[in-house]
Amino acid sequence: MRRPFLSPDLLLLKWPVLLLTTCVVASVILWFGALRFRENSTLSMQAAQVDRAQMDTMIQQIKDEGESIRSYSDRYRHLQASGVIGDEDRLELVEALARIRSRYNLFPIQFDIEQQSVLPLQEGEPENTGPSLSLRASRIQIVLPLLHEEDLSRLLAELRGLGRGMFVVEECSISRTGGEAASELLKLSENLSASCKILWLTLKSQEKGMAPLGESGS
Amino acid sequence: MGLFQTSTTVRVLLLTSQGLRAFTWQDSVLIPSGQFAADEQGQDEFNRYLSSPPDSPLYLVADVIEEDFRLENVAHVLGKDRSALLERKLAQFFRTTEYRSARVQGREESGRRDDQVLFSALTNNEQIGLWVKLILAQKAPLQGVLSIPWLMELFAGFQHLDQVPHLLLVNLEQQGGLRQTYIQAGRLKFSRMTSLATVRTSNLAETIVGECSHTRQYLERLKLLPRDQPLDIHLAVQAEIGEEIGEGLENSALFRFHFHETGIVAAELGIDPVLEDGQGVVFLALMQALRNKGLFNIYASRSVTRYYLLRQIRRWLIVGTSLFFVVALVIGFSLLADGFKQRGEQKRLNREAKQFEQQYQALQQNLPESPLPAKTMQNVVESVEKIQRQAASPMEMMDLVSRALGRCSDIRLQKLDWKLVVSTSDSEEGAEGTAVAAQPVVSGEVAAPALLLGMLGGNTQATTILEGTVYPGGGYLNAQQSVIRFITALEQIPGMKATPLVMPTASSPDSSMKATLDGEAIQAVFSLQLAYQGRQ
Repeated sequence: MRRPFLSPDLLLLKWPVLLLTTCVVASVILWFGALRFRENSTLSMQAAQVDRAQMDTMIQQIKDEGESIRSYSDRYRHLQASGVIGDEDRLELVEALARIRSRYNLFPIQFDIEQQSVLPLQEGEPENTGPSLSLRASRIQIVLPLLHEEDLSRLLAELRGLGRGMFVVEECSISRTGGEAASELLKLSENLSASCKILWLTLKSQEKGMAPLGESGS
Repeated sequence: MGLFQTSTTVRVLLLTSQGLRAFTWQDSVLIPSGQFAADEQGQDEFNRYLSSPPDSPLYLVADVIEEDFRLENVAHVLGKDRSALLERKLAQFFRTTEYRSARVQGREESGRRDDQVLFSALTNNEQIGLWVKLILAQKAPLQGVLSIPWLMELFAGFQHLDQVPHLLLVNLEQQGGLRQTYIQAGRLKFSRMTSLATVRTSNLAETIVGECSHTRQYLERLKLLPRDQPLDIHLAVQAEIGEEIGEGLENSALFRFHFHETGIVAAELGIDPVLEDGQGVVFLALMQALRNKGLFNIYASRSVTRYYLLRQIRRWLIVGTSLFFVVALVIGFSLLADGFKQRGEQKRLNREAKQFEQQYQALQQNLPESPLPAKTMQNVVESVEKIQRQAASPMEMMDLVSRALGRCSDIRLQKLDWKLVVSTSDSEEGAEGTAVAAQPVVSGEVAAPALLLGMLGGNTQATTILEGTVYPGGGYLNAQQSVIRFITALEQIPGMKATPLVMPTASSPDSSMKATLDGEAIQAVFSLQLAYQGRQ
């Protein structure tokens, strides 16, 4: 079978083929260049989006922080003033109880302060860069005879107003100790006996590896 | 050939026994552009003609006596087998020429249903080869080689004579020849040219009738034309010749003559008769074919038309390359535009981020002073406030009980146990009026941290158990009613629920009851559990 084209004839196609080759090469370079440019642009844009979103979040956080500070700082200072924040001072408490007993002429008070337990308040929070904070609880068992239930009421009210922490009554048992009520109305002896368990709560914030905070205000 | 040069013109080379005439088809006009003799000078002139622009495709139309037609039936095969079979037959029939063709025109209606093939060839190979060689030497794009009979087949179609079953198309050609072309139902079957060099005008009609008779005999011999079938003879001649021969041509049972005056035909086809004047029916057919679908190739092999094919390939390569490049540019620029758009977006985001940063710094500077980080401070305050909300006082319960006692003078309290406990089920707390609600599940001895957790979670509850006696005791019924009155007095306090644990007398049918009736005062002891929701 005869070949329709001889090799020299094919030279007639050299310029179109060269043109095609040039176009293909140029197109491939253009495509790859443009693709690379677009990919880089996409990555840069995504990075800028992340930066912007982060800044947005930070602004929101600092706004929230400002709001929180404005909203909570007075209440926090009040807590500081009421002695909730800071170390418990057992000797001072003993002195205070003595003063209360003396002021209201109460019967002798027996009390027992147990070992302090600690409950961290910031456990599990993602943001743990600030000072650690813990709730300290000491159980106080108080036993005292009462002339009248008002004695107990006064004692508890005085404890609350002491400014040495929070005093939460856990349980209280009041029982009659005297005989017939009618025969004892005129006697100034103990009629009732009270036994209470009270939680003495304080909060202590402490920078990790640093001196305790909040004590200056207490 | 210029790289981007394309041409809409076509050059037609009309080969006759006297030489070669060149025409250029441009703007729907066939313009004579040269005449070349077969001698050395003519060939030189032809070379110059070919090398001069425009570089348009060429058609070589042979108007020669030396053309042979042969109708054969060949086995019906397809594809390469058919090509090989036809090539073999062509080589067998027309061994001395390379300008040959085989056209399948149909199939037999019965028997093996063989293919009906018209084999034809320009038998004077040297006469054509001389010019073709010059064309190929100049690498001119020869698109096809055909002959006048094939143009006549086209002409019959243009004149709507392709439905005539047996048509003999007769025309007088310029170089003094009488061409008879037999077309059966629109398909060329046979053609021959007779020289009229020795014929006088007065004898022209007689000569035509005689030549037609010879042709009829030949066709009958080939069984192309039945013996009694009248033959429609259409003469396409100029008006003056028609007038001269018209009287000598009479219709008979075997011949029916029809005249086509070329001037009128040209006008019917929309061709300027001035252009046609003196050129004959061949030019009408050429012009009409060029105006319609263009000419075609009958006799040229692929090696002869290779420069035309190369030209087409070159053209498509350029067109394809251009399209490809345009698409590539569109895609590329679209990607770049995308990229620039994203860059713009990135700059906008960066500007915004910078503004935000400045805003952040301003906010940070204006942040109120705080002894602690805001979160920690919030946590401290909320925790303490939560505990304070949960921290109930036994004194409150004692006040409430005192209020109820004020209305029940015969009730004497012996003991009051008050506890702050962790309630295990919120739903139970809310279900007032049920025994479960009045007696929340108490988790016994709760260690301080556990109670603290309960207070921080807001699920503590104060419970109180009262123990007392009815004084004076009186009877069983009186004591029982006194306690019930006391319970009623307690429950009149909003939020208070009193549940008897021990009554002076166990009077329910579900329990056993013991009593001593001796006239002495009874020991009317009772016990109640109180739940107060007032602070919740």
